[in-house]
Amino acid sequence: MFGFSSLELEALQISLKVSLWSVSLTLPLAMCVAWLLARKKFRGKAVLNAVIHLPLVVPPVVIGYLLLILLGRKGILGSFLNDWFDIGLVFTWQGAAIAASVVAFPLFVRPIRQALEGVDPRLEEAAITLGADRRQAFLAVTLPIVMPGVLTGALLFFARTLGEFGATITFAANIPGETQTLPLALYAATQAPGGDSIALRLVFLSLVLAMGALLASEWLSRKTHFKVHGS
Amino acid sequence: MGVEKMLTIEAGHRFIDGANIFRIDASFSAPDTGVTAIFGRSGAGKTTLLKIIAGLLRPDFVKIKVGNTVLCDTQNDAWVPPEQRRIGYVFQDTRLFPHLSVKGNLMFGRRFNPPPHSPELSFDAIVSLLGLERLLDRGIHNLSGGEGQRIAIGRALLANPRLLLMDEPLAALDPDRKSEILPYLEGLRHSLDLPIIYVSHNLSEIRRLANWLAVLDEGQIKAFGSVEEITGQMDLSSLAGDGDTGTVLAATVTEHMNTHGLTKLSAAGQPLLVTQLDLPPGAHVRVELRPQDVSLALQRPENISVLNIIQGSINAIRASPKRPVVDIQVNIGSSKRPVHLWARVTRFAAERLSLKTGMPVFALIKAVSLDKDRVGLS
Repeated sequence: MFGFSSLELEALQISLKVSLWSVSLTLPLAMCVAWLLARKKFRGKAVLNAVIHLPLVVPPVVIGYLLLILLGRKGILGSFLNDWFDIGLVFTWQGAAIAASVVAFPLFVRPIRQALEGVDPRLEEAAITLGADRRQAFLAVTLPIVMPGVLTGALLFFARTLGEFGATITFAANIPGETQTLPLALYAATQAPGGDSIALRLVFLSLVLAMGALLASEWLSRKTHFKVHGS
Repeated sequence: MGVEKMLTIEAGHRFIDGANIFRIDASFSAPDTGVTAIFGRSGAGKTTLLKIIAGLLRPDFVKIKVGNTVLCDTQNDAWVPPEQRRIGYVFQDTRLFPHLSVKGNLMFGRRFNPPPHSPELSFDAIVSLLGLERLLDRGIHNLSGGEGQRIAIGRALLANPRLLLMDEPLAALDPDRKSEILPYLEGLRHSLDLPIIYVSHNLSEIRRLANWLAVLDEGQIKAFGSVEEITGQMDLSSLAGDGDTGTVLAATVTEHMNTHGLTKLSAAGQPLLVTQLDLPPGAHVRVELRPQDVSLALQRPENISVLNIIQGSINAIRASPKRPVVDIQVNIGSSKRPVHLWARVTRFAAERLSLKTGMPVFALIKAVSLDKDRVGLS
């Protein structure tokens, strides 16, 4: 198709699969953590905040290696998952999704947290006096108001997972057809003799994907922002 | 009177904030129709009391009964959660939902509550009662303060409440906006069969709107009774903080003097002329008398432009060496059925006339000072 080889299209497909699964599975967790940080006071809040932001300052290879220690076949959690559920994450696309999600997580949490901090919690109180219980008040009032923040977070996160390299190659390796996402395929192409034309085509695919995501998010957030803020 | 349905509020709570302890201990029982005002200076615990009633705060002790329904009674482990109480709450800062249109805000409570029985609480009726027709499709971002507050009131009413709480709904508005909203609030009181608790530190609003008055100071109810009774008896100015002592007189329209643009009322058996009202003879009205609008004379003055000269006797004198003015309480009723009003004169004038308790006096009130802003339906 359009002169792309099956390997290149496969890399695109794996990239999309990894990033989209990452977004949908991380979304609830990011909401919960953002809500905790924005609304609640508890012991160890500063520590939680630091841990979440760690991937921003630590090299992704370190994250990947930590994941190997934790979730590898002999890892603390990994051996348990392997023995009891026969789940192995290393060298699988699911593992690639986990690696990318951990690295990009702070980018998802931060905009949601900022949006939540901008919502007057007393609006939920007003909703409760109108008959909504706590859950309904959150869903009917706070959630729609923070929607632009959620979309911004989801996009930043999506873009970051698309570009994830270090943690993915460390934890999930570079296996064509399984864990080889666009950046990993690009890396492989640059290492192989005569891979320049493949590399260029992969660069083109990456750029198209990123631009598409940026434009889509701009359009979505403008639409929701107008609805919420009226200007 | 028979067995009247009552609104009963009893609440007790201790708030400990560092070394400070604020104690709230308030109970009162009012007929469950009409407006009960809770009056007190800021920090008296008014908003706290409202939050306890709404269930947004859970105090040590609380009992709330509206008509025959017990909403909570901590002694008997009865606790209806706030979202199931159907107690409407109009906040001072409106708290409209920014992501919804005016109509979306108004309809918000509908999906969580049973539909209203009475046609007075239908969407169309509330919208027209509050004059919101032209605003429905707008967002809430470019509304005036008065419009925002009317929408907040409509939103609370459309959730089909059994009791409406209003927390200083006019406090954040400038005088023009206030006089724009007051008629709507009066309309509410007349057309809805819904008890209202109205919190305010503004005596003038209370005199105009409320039937019952609870005076709250430092978390305690200092007095409770009809507005006429409490404003005539107590000097509330120290609590109001704005030097506002005033009286509400209950009166009846007797006749219109169309050629002069005046209306004759009867208050405490005495005639009272006010600027012309658009109300039929027989209508019951309340007249808000500001003490600075009332002068005193020892003899009935002749050849004077003041139209209202009411005979009475001095019941009490409130003077303080720090203030250049003296507030004088005059009984214009009989000794058996006293009707009190307050007059404010300078200390110099009071000394020159040697005013003393028990002295017969004439209270002079200019008819022009009693215009539409001071006289309303009761």
